[in-house]
Amino acid sequence: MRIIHQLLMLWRSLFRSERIDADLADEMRFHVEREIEANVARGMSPAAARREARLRFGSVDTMQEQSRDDRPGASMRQVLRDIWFGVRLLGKSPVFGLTGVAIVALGIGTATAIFSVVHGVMLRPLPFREPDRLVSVWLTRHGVRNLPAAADAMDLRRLRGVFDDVALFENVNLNLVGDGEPQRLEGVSASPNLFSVLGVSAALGRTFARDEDQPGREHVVLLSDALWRGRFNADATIVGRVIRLNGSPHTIVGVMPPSFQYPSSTYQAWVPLVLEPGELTRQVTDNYRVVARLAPSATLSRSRQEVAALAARLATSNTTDTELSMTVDSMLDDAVRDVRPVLALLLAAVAFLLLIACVNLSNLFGARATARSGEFALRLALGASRARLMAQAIAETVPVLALGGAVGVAMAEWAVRAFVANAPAGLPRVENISLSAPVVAFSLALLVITGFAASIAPAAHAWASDFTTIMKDGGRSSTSGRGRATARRIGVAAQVAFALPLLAGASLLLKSALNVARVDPGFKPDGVATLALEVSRSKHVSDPEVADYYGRLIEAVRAVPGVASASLTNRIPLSGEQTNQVHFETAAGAADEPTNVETRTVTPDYFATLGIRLLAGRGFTDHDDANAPPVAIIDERVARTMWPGETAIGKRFREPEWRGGRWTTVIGVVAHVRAVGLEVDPLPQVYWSYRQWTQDRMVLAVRSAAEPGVPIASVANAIRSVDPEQSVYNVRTMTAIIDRSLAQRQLTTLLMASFGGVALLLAAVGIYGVVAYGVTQRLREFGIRVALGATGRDVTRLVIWNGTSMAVAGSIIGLVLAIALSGVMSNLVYGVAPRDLASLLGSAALLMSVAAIASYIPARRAAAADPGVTLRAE
Amino acid sequence: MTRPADLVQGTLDLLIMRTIATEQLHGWAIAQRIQLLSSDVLRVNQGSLYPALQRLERQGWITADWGVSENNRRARFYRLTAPGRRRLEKERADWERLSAAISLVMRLA
Repeated sequence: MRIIHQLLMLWRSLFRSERIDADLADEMRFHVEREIEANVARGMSPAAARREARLRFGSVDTMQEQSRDDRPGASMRQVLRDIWFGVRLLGKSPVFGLTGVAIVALGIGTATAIFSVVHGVMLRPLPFREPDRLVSVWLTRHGVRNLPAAADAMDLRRLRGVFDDVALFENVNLNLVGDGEPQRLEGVSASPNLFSVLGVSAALGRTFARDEDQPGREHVVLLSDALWRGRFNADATIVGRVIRLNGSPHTIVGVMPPSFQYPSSTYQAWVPLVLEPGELTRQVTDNYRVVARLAPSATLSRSRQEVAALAARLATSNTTDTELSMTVDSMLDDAVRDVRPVLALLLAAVAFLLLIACVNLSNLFGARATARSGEFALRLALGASRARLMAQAIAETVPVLALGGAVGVAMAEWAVRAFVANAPAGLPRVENISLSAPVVAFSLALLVITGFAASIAPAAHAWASDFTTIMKDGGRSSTSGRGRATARRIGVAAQVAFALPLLAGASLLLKSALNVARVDPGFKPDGVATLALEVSRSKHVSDPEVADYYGRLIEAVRAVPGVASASLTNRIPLSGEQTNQVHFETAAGAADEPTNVETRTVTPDYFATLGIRLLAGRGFTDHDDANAPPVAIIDERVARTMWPGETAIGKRFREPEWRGGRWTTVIGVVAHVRAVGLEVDPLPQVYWSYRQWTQDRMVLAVRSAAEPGVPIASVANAIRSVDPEQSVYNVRTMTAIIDRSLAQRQLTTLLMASFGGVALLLAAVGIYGVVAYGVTQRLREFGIRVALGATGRDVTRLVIWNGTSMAVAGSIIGLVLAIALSGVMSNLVYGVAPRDLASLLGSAALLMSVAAIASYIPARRAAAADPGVTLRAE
Repeated sequence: MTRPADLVQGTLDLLIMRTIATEQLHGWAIAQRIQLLSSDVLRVNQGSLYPALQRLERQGWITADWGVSENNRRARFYRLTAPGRRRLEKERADWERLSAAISLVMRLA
């Protein structure tokens, strides 16, 4: 009640001020008139009565003034008036205003946009119950990160008091037939407890029961919200319906809520994972992603210790895995592992940019405050308090900040939308990125900080206003003026110092991008299209049957007009790794130490289709089948490291233990291929014939005979002519795969280059402003110099050095900064050192030349000044 | 005519509230009434009266309405609100306690 009354009063005082004033004036007029009447009644003459009443009452204006000061919100009204004054100042000097608004918008906009990405990807909690209790477990073998086996997950489950529960899963293709076109679903085959580990339940129906991983009970499926809406028209009675997946009937037991997008938003269905008996005894190894929920009493560090101890026990009990270790990471850290360096870099970059913007603004407002020295001094002399001048100086920055902040956030909103719509492949959790409330709060906080930074110079100026000195010499050569000029020069040097790491980083990324573009992938991507398919084991049961089916597919595709060559591989280059361990037989005898190699299964024409050169020996033929002796093709790197100086053809190695460890003979050597990514090149490669190592998931690669490219529709028809139920997916050209693998780097490079450009621009504007101002202040000095015999060249040189010296000082600090921060770049550069001297010195040189150019324009003016005119002007 | 000492702020507030406790009055009448009741000892300066009225109104002790005065003019009439009445009672009790204490000290010391 009381608060409402107070608020009402504040409201009236702020927005009904005229009304209160008018009421008060009426009331006092009445008072005076009543007094006159009373005086007349006492016998005075009307004139004397009036005079007496006026005298007694005193000044009406003073009372009005006092009343206004007494009212609530008086200081607030003062602030509003100052801000309004700031708006009017903006209108009077629009160039100044627009510059300020642009600087604020750039600083706040970039910071907000990048922070919204960082927040969405790295900071927002995972949408699961107590997400900070969830961990991912990885295996490291001989220094290569690997997925654990089912037996490892069972060992983790048996650790006492560490994990509540451990779930494992792998990706599967689910071929959905019936009700229209055959559709390939991106599915997950998961242990039934995955959902209880994550702490999610179904929106419709239920998740899996504990025993639904037992053979015979596993024909159940959970649908994603998107699939349920897209394919099944959001049928509310769908639970209990039977659909055909991979040739066998599955009962739909539930539909997941739209928020459940695990492992990522592309997944459409989940089926129970049925382990083979051999997997638990490590006779058969398949790899799974393992996630676990920490036990209530356990901590992440404790689980790390226990898991490390477990890995050590496994390593000693196992002959082949002597160098085994396991790592536990929080699930969120694990999800964003690959993008963290990039996001850290971008965050650091926008922080620098914002710092530059702050210094620039401070200088800008400081310069204007200097221009208004006379006004400040006069008001001080007329009785304004220093605090009042300072408050006004700060309030005047508000319109620029508010407008700049609004423009910046609007720009960020637009940029974030555009970014989410075209996010580079491989960026996790893109769907979380938005200008959410915490992001907006963050940018508001930044805006306030920017505002303080921008107000420092004008406020200090207002505080230091001194009537006598300013009036004496026009505020030109006073010591306080010199102090301010020094502060401004330090500001400019700071901008250069902050700009240098940005430029150096941009240069490093540009060099890296060029290096990556120059990488020889080892194959010829032009004119090659790919599509993925998975064979149905219920139709083609044994390996030879599958291989025969593949043979028929290739025949059919090759017959399509315009197709020069067609082949299958289980993994196309640049689409992830597949590591196995083999034992090479070298001159020293059969190695005990296994070697990690990238393994691929291919059909005979694979090397021709992809344009991979055959360096020695022969390629595979269809006769290299299950009945023939085991053979393999190695890449040049294996040949060079294992059998240097001799021919590799005819040499032997033992295939991976889990495949039987048979001796395999090398029949050919091919060029090395960037199998995992253009920038990463971890391992040498070994190829198997598809008839000796048959895989269920394959990628069809087709090279076109002529320009128009691969007739992909005809290729799909050819496949369907062999098996109408065969679904195909991921139709892409090889060039698109390469572009996709480079997208993130290109985006990072583009962003850094633009940040660097903006930093350079701001620094140039800052240097120009300070030098130009300095020239105006020193015109008389230049006049004297010229009168004493200095030439225009001398003056020009003097002014240019004046500007460049700031850049030199800034560059030195900037170099130190850039070197200190080079660690941020270490994971992002390719083929160039993070402390690349050329990038560092080049950036410094660029900044200094820009400083020289920015100083040249005012220098010309200084040199052109007529000493007669400038000296007489006093 | 000797000018009476300016009233202490709190005292003026108390006097105003007491004056309008029984009937609503406009500003001039409040000043007159205080002067009259105090046998011309207390003269309220207009420069203090109106700020005091505004302050009391802001605090919600009193409220005002435009009405017609005894000489048929538009005037602003003040009256106590319910919280103001409670406030007056409390202030009056405080005042009586204080003045009794002061006069006690003056007599005995």
